[in-house]
Amino acid sequence: MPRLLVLTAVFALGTGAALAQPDGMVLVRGGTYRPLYQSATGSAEVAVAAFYLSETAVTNAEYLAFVRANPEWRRSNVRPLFADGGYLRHWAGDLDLGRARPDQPVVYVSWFAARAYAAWIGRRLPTTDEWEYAASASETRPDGRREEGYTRRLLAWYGRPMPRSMPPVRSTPANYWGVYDMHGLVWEWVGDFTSALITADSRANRDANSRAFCAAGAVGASDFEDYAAFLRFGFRGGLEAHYTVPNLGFRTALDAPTSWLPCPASSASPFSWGSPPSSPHATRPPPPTSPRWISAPRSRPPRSTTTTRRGRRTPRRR
Amino acid sequence: MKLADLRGRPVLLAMVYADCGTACPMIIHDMKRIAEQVGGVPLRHVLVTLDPERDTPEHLRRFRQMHELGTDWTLLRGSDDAIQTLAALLGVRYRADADGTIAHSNLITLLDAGGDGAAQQEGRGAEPAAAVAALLAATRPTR
Repeated sequence: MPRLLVLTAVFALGTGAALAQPDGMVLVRGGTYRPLYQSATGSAEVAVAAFYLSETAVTNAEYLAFVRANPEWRRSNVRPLFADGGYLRHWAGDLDLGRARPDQPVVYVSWFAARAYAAWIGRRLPTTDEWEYAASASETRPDGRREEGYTRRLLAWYGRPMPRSMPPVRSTPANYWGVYDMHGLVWEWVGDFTSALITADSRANRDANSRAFCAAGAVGASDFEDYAAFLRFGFRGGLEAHYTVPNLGFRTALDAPTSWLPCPASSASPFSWGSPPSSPHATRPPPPTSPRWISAPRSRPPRSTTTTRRGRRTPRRR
Repeated sequence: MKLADLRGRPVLLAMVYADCGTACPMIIHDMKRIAEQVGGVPLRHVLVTLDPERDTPEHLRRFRQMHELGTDWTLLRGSDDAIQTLAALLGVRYRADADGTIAHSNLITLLDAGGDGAAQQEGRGAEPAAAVAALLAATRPTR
């Protein structure tokens, strides 16, 4: 009998671990997704495996806990290499939110900072594909494009100026997956934002026209939906990892157990939009059309960066 | 290996991948041209792969032979995470496409002997004069 009890306990633990939903996250089941930007020979759709995505963007309160535990990420300590001068400028001090509300999404955070936060709680940033796949859902369907009026609602948000006061998270209805504010609140960092190749790439250098994102991005982008995805792509392409922007935050993701079954294949196309970046940091002129030497940034160089460096993985303190 | 381990000599650094048939050989060619023009300045060349999965140590060894890269060339691979971080630091954009190619920025970064970023060359086939000047500046002793 004691042995039976032990076995029962182990089984229960195992089952619970497999099905446990990470705190504040929802499961986004796998499926297929049609990225805006495709290679000439690549498939039109890519598979997205199931993953967990946080219901909301990371809030000021959550980020405050992070900087409390990680002094190197406080405003006065952060290295310029990892965040520009605007880092957390909406806070009153290192550990003082000032007029920023705890339930507002944290903004003015760099990619390095966002990634460090995600690693601190044992998570990661979503990939571009994951983000776009989750964001293509309406309130009732995984593929919102097929829904009457959905595009119009998103367009309405895009047309509104940035509010004076940042709304709190959960300001917009949850989508099909139970995720809030994918559209309508802030832009969000993705882990692989560097894959948005607006700048010259190895093949686009062949001539001036093909260097530009617009020329390639417009292929197949014949409606408003694709235009919206184009805007997001363009926004990411204008970013650099140390930039901080007044309406750019992030949310976290996590791999899901592989046993989750995928959704039926859909022809979901990414769409929706956000306000254009309002910081001069977020846009930059197109690159020159000929090779050149450019000055190194003033910020400190990657002195301590390693080719095997990984983010901090300190357990989260609550 | 840390980038700090490369301190002591100026470093020309680029992110490439071995199966790249177009831009990467040109980047290497440009790095060689720069090195030739600075003459006897001790210099280290570092190539970091954007494709650690396919660029195994063996694959990189063949790549080294094919391009006749000497002992002052260091070829590195790392985790996807580490490569993403380095790319973010250097401003290198890259995207793996379904056809196996990787689109990427053509960027050569010069680190001075102290490990600080001194300059970058963007594009392919650049005249190395500016790079040489930057490199010579980077080798001047500093207090």
